[in-house]
Amino acid sequence: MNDYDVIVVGAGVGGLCAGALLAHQGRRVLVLEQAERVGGCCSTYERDGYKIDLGASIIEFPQVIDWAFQRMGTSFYDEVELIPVDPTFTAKLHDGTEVTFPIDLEETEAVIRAFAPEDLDGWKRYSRTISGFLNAALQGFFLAPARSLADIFRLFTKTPALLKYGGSLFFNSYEGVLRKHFKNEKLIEAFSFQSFYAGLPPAILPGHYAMLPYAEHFGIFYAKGGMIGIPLGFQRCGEKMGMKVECHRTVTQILVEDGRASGVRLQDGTEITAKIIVSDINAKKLYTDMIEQRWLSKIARRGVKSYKYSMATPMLYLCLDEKPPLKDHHTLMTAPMQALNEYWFNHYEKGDFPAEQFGILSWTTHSDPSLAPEGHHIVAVTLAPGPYNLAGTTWDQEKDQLKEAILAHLEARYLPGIRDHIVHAEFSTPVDFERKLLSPEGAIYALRQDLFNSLMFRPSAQSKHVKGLYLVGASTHPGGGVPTVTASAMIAADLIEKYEH
Amino acid sequence: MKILTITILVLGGLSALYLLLPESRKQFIKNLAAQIGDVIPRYFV
Repeated sequence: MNDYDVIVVGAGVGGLCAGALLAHQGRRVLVLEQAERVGGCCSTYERDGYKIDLGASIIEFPQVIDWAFQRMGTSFYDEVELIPVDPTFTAKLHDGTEVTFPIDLEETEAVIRAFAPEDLDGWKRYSRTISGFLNAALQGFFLAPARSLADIFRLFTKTPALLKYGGSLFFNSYEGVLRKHFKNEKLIEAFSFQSFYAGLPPAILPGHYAMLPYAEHFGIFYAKGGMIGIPLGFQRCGEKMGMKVECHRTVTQILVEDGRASGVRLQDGTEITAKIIVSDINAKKLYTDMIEQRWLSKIARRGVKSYKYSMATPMLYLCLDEKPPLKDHHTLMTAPMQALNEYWFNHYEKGDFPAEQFGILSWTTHSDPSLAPEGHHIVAVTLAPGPYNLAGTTWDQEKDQLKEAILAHLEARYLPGIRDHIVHAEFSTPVDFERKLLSPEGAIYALRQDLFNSLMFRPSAQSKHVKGLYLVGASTHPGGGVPTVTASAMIAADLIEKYEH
Repeated sequence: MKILTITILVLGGLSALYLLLPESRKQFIKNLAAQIGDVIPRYFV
């Protein structure tokens, strides 16, 4: 008799959602988390009365998350108090121009008519293509297992609209799609930074991610009390069905007997048995460090080795005793598209992290004032992609100096007078993320998300080498992001229901 | 001989097309081309 039916390794959104869904299938589920709190990158910590989000600062595609809650007889909106965020964002362009895009599509069209009239027709064409693609993606793409060519064939035959709209997107770059529809360089700049939401610069990110600036018009939300509310919602649903969650429990080894998962070994040597293991940790780390290599074929070992970790995102968390000089929940500090590409190739890939930054200012207390003491505010600054290895130095060596230099830049360009109102300022580097989340190289989307790291080329949700081992989270299909890792949990739960009796 | 000529013409045509592409499209293709050898091993993960 096993200790549990299922052990979930990692209590990120994917792990907790999978655990809760499996508990609702009537299975005895244990979720083990190495950190002191759940949520992984979608978490919130408290410091002196300020509730600070670690990573995710809004969610898109709420309907995908709602599907998971609906499977448990409830709804996203009943389990988590969601605050609508409107407008989607204000972009502060490199030349000082500001443009704000409301959620409402008609209002956005009016903004484009005024801001870039020559691109109004392009916006309409872009909207038609992207909304067609998104509707098709919501019908099939998100919940397709994508383990093999057969799965992909089934996906495209079941949802032919994916090919109709996606054909022109999959084999183009993010930049190519934007340039195909828009001419105005300022409008292109306002839509360019979002390519880093998927972890790559506009020149090499696949074109279907050009849906990102449009997808926000489906509605974006903030979880009241902090983004940890979303994983806590899944935890509550699972616990109602007997799921157990234990923090400060680090799994070091997946135990395998005769090619089948049989349990886990913890850092303190404890072994816990289960017939099914769900991994919510980086798949490269899982297959490299946590499973004996003899269970993997030679070609699979080569495949695992070939994956590159996704970018890391240094963050600066600012707790303020005054309202910041911002207008909206999200302000994008942008740079021309070409500058973003050049940053990637000339700085990021060479281990350089300049203080003159672009990124996102997330003013979370604008949406939820209860996150900070009365009259106080929080701004989380998501910075440009940070290389894990800095050329000629280390993050620990540079951290304090970089923090001051970035603050000086932010004050000069975007947040005048801010340094007089900082109660706390914490700078989290890729190395800090790695230490906190045990995420290799601080990778926020686990693995890169270009075409040859997607669908059947991303690690399979159902392990091809160890029976009873299933993968959820950013390193399996459909990739990184709160709705997508929720979808990965639904895929794993469906596969387990089908194959594990 | 005929096959060789056709192959050279096709490859030459593709190279000429590649050279005409904007830099960003070249980067997109280069990034994928660099991973061609990894595609089959990744399928087995």
